[in-house]
Amino acid sequence: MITPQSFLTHRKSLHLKIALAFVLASTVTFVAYDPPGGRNGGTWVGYGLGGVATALILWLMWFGVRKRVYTSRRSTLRGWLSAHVYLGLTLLVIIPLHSGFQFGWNVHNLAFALLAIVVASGMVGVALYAIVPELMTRNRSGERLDALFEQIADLDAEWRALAKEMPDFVAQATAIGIEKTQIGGGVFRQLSRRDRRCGTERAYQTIMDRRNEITDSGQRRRLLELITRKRALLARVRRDVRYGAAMKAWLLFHVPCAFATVATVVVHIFAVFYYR
Amino acid sequence: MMHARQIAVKTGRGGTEIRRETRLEGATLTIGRSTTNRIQLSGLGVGLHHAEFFMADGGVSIRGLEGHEIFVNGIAVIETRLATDDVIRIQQHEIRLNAPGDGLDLDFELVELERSGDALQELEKRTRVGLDRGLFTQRKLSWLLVAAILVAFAWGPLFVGTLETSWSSGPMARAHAGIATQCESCHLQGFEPVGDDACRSCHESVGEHIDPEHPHVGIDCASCHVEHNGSLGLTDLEQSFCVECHNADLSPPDLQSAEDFGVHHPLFSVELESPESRPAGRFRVEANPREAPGIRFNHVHHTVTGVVDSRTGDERILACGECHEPEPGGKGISDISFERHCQDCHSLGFDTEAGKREAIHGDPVAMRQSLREFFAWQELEKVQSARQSTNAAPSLRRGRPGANITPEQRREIAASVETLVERASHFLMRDETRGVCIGCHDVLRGEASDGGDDVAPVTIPRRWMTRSIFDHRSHRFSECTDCHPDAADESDLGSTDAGHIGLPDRANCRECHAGGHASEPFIPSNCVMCHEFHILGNTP
Repeated sequence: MITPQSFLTHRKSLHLKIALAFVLASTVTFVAYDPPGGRNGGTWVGYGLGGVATALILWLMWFGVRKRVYTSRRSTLRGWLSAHVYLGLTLLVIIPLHSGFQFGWNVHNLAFALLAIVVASGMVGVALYAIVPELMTRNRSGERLDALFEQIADLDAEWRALAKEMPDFVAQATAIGIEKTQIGGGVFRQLSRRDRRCGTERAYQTIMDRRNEITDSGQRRRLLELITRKRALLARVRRDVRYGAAMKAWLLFHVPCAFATVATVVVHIFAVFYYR
Repeated sequence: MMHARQIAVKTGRGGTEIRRETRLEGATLTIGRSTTNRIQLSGLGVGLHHAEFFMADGGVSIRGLEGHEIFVNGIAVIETRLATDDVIRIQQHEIRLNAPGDGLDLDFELVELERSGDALQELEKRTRVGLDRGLFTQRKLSWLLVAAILVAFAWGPLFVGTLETSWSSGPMARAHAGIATQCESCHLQGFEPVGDDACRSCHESVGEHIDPEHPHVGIDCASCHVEHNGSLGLTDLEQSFCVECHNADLSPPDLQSAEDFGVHHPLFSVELESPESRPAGRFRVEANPREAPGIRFNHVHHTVTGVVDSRTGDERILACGECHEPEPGGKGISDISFERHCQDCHSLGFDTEAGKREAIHGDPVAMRQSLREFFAWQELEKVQSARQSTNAAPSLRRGRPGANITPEQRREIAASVETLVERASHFLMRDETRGVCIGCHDVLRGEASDGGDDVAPVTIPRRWMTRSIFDHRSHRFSECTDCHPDAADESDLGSTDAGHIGLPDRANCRECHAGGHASEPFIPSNCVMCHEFHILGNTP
């Protein structure tokens, strides 16, 4: 498995060294060249740095293609990801150098702002990949997700059977606890820590509030035990869903923003050459 | 040793119940998914070694193995002693304990509950996992954002005027703020750089630096005037730009090279129209060139020794500013004017029989004409008074107009007047000690249009160092003599005559001004501080 711990140190952090050398070379070039009218994107060094940055952005985008290719023998995906992360970070320096640190409210700076957002979300992504898979594994504790689903279904069946012989409010709560319990849902429901509308929770609250009305203590104990087990299972399943949704949401942010960046860079290049 | 009877209960086709009895023996009876278990249970949720029965205190107990959960009567337990009618639940399997018969420690039915298929299906129906739905896919979101950006920032600026400014790469210089949103006033053609034509459409009279047809000129307005740089302004020029051409290797042949005022810059020179050593041309300031300006003037007398006011007889010492007045705006110094700066002390008076008279300044011919009129009047007065003093008959004393002077008398008077004019003119223009004209001016004898003496033209240059700009106003906090010390120097070096040129030399300027990158205590001074790029009047 490719973890941040492994790709960040890939080949003794070779790509980190390459990235630092690249930043250093660009900075030296920037400082050494001081044209009439000041340093900006329209000087030869400005064009050079802009060209390099554009090429780099396109190469970073190519990672989306490369990660789906599983048969390459020349390079490893881990190496690509290592380079993707470190070289992506260099853009935060290269582009301000390209512009001569001129910032403003225009389409040119929008390209940089979007790029900064993409790079920042990339950092969040590295953090997610460092933390979430581990949490996911620990949460499942060796069980497959469909086994957890089966257990919940079994509990539902058992609950239904148990409730047959119990007071009406229990039967009603059982119906809610089973039929109004859903896993996942909308984007924010999947990402949220708690499902406040969960049927099982509502049933649990009702039954806890009125548990004294259940006279048979054995039945009462079995029922509460059963619901508690179901709540624990639901919590684990939902945590799993949340982790999965978080990873997916990250991609849904990182990738479209990257495409938006490319589109803005295209507009930027067109605009500066159209209005030279 | 434990003895147990297991009755596996299954529901056959058609709902018939099938019961199969098995006898089990052992110190413990293990339960689990593995075939090595005595009681084998199917299902992925069942542990490989899930639990075991064991004897304790003469009874049967059960405990979970490897951390697996078991439920006895619906309650999770790790280990418990069992009793008749207890129901043990492991996943979908139920072990229902009956009262053990003779010789048995344990008697149980093993029932596999129906897989809760319906419940699972329903649960799955209520499950929605994953974000890929509606707009929430990488592809759709990407297209949406790309389309939004292209519409707002590509289509918009090209076809909706007000969005055009989003393409501006930076704030305009203040001078162009008035046309900041009119891109097309400078960007005349797409994909073409802004040319000089666009600039010249407003800035018509800006002088060229050199002939634009010159083969070495590869520069246009935008080479120096970089727009969209905001506060940097349009003319914040590095001297490296000038040095590209004016360096020691490439300098134009008719000019001296310069690379930095503090390091490599020609000595100062002045343009002299009438130097003592002709012909006219440029002369090094350091070589103390002398000029023949056609006038006599001793600065040191006026500023140090003291001069006598010819009107009052008082002795006066003048300050520089009493004669050298700043021009309006203060950049240059006004020309010296006799009427404003000299006449107060320098009376042009001369004595006549009728008292003191003042000569006209500036035109010797006009001056003599006015003398002529004055003396003619004087002579006529004499004739008149001579008649009135005689005892002639009253008819004679009251002469008729036009007939009271005879032609003979007229000739006499005219000759006398000319003599007086000539004498006065000679006195004013030739008397080295008392003549007021010759006191200050060179006199050209007999060269005036009326045949009389003329005054040599005064040739003080309007500007001395014509290839630079100098602003007296920005130097107003210095004393005049900081840069022009000769004007008040009593030694031999002082400016005791008008041929002396009291201009500061390069070393004088370098006392404060060093090169383009100078630092405290010097003033950084690049080329355009003193030299104008656009040469006035040099228009295409």
